[in-house]
Amino acid sequence: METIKRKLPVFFIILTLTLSIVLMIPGMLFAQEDEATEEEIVEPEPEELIFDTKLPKLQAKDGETFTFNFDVAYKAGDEPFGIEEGKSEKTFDITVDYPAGWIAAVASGSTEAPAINLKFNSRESLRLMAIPLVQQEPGEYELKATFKSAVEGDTLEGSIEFTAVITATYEISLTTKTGRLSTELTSGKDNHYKLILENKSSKSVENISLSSTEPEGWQVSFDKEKIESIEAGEKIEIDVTINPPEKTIAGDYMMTFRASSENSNDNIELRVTVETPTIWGIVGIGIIVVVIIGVAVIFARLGRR
Amino acid sequence: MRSILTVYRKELTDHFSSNKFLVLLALIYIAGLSSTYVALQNIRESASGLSKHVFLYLFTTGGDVLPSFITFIIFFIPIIGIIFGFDAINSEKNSGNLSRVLSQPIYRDSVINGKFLAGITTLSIIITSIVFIISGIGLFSIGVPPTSEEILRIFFFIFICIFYGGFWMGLSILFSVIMEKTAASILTAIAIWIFLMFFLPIIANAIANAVVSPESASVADQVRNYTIEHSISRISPSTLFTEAIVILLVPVGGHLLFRPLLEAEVSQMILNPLSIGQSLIQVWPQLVVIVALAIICFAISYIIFMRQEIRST
Amino acid sequence: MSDNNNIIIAKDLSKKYNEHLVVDNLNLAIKKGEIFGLLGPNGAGKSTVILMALGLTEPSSGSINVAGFNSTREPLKVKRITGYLPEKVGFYDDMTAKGNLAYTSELNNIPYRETPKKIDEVLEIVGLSKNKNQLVKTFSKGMKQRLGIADVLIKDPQLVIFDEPTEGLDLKVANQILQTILDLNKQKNITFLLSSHQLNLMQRVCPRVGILSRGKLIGEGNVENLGRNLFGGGKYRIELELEKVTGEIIEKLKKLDKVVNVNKVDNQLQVVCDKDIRQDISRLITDEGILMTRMNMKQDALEEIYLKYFKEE
Ligand SMILES: Nc1ncnc2c1ncn2[C@@H]1O[C@H](COP(=O)(O)OP(=O)(O)O)[C@@H](O)[C@H]1O
Ligand SMILES: [Mg+2]
Repeated sequence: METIKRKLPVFFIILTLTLSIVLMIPGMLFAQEDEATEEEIVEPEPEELIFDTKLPKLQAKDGETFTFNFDVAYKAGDEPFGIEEGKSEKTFDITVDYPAGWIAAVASGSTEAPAINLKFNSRESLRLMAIPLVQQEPGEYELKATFKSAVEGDTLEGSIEFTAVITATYEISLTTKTGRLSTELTSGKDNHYKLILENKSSKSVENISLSSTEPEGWQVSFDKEKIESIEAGEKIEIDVTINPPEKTIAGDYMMTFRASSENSNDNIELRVTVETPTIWGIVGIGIIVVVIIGVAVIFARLGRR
Repeated sequence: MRSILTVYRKELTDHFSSNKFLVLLALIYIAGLSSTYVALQNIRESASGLSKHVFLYLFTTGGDVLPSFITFIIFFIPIIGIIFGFDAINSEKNSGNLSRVLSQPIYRDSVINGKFLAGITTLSIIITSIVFIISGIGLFSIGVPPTSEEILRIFFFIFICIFYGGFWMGLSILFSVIMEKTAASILTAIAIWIFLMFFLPIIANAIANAVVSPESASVADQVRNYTIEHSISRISPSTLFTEAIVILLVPVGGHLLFRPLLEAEVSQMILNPLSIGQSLIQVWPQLVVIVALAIICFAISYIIFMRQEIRST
Repeated sequence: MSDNNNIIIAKDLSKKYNEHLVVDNLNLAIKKGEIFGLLGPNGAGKSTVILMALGLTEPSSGSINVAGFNSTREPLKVKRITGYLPEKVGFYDDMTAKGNLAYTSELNNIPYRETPKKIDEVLEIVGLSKNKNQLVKTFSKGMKQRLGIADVLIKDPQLVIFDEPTEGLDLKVANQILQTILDLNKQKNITFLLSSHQLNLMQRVCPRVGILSRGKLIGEGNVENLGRNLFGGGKYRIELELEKVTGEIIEKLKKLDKVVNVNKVDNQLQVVCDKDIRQDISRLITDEGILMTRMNMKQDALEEIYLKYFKEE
């Protein structure tokens, strides 16, 4: 109920209430008639559990939680909802069948529900939560929730089946060898830098291409432009050669390295500091010093102070 | 000839001992250093990518608050020229030194030549030293050495600056020769500077707009308007100087800033940097006029001074 | 008047400023080793003559030679041997006495090594040795004048031209300066040309003077004899103011005994004579039946010169 309430806009609730009142009036009228014809015993319709779900099949990566939403209704024949009889409420035990390595349970609201009271002719929204506990091969896994009357001798029972599809997970990650996301470069030179490509997925990943975004005019190359295949869990060291042009202004620049395969990719941002080549630093300071000394000497020689 | 050197040395000593020199030097250095600071802040955006002339951006890049070095230079060079020239002759006359000096066995032109040379030397030292200091700071901070072409451009820039300063110095020396009072000569020189630098462009604009309406949609009219305005403002050496140094220091497109550009032209233009030879050809007329003006101003002062009777009263 | 004995020779020297004759056909010779006083009221043209002597201004006609060199054509040679102290002598205020003298020394091409000795020597002569390293701006007027003398002595001149050497000085200082001039003349045998409007001061040092009035040299020689020369000889001058002056009366006056000359100056008659003949004159005038309004006699030529030429300006 809560979920519905939460999901429906207020006016919908009002509409439902109004509708049910409108529908109840003839029902009450009939009930009066029934009372009047109490003698006529109507053969009771067989009770049944009706399940309803919109998404019986869900797909997710290994390790993720599957949540199946479904409704269950406890009713008999086409008896209209809302009419209470002697057997107005019944408790059902819920059992969930799941494959090995999984855990699954039905939950109502936020709590796990091993059993549930269902009112006659009412509808309840429930969830089946399933989590693969250990690594699962990609594929389809059947889950089944069975509702069984807790009343002794009552054979009323119903079940709903779900399929959890585990897709293959391809996860590659790009990191730097040092772990730091910054480095220093010298312009006009081939600077080598090591990246680590790791396959974090359960299967090998094929056809990974490496690319980069760098400031205009920079030359970046990888020792392997394409990686044919990387086994699950494998780490590959990639040597990047970065050549900022001779005329690169010293300072900080951002670079992005990207590893991408058909079904997975990762990128890493690197802050590179282009340093003034030592020689130019020295020459620069040298010029300043010479000029200042020069002006000072002119002052000393020519000034009358 | 020796007497020129004697006068020259004494004048240099005077300049280097004077407070006006210290004030000017401090002013130029502060302007140069602060504009370099701003340039270094903004040079990455200006000198994007594959620019071949990164080093020159040190001089041409400005910021929101402070202008570029060349803007300061356009402003300060006339001031230096005027300050070192306006009292060259009349203050010597008024102090009674000129008669005494001219009674020594020297040619009269030694005095004016020595003074002019000393002024130019002082100006050159100021300009050259700050340009070199900026270059040193630039080299140190951006780590990009200038190409030989850039070095040439910088030297030509210094050269033009010196001649431009020489023009203003010649002009103010002229006033110092023909005017008795130093206050009169400095005010006249500054008035002319203000007129040429600030008012002439306004007047040029007004005249151009009076002749050809600026609202005219016709491209020909707009070009005509621009041409008139531009021709008038080119009377001012300050316009010529600005053009010369911009063309010289902005090899990519600098030369396009001073002529009307038609959209059709622009769309077909590939903005490649001019070679130094091309840049020099572009600035040649400006350069010649500036050098000629400097020489003419000095020559007039020279002739008048040579014929002038120097009385000590 | 042989050229060998004369250091300055002016021949028919004239100077016009805008058709205004400032120096009028001047002929003058100044002997080597003498102290010559060029006297005359302000505006008489003394400074102009001096400027022409130094080649600092050109004569309109005539010539002036100094030590055999034409001042107009060979001014450098003239200036090499001539020291000139202008009317309002000025020094570089921010330099020391020594610095100023060193500059003069350098302008005179005096070898660098000899300069310090030379400076000490000339400062000693003028008594400024103590103030050698003092800035000139702290000097009094008299000290500056003495420094001026030191300045001209640096070049070991044969001739020193001194324009208004005592102008603006108090009597004591003026006398000191004049004494120095006398000493220098005696010890170093330097010829002096002093120009002044202070006749009484000058007559003490100048054995020979020239009186300049409105550009004309109206008298030359010993101050005592000057009156005689000026007014055509005669020791006495008797001035008459008559009701009317006729040529006849002048002729008659001239024929009187002891009369040297009769000048007609304005409405006055001046009778130059060797004896007091006032009685004779008044008798003659009365006999002619002319009314005499005034008659007085002057004996002192100097005072007369002073009154006549110096006071009227
Ligand atoms: N540059 C000049 N232009 C016109 N007149 C001048 C000039 N210089 C001097 N004079 C005139 O020449 C006359 C003589 O001046 P100056 O030689 O200075 O006289 P002094 O030195 O005897 O006082 C003065 O009447 C003066 O007004
Ligand atoms: Mg004078």
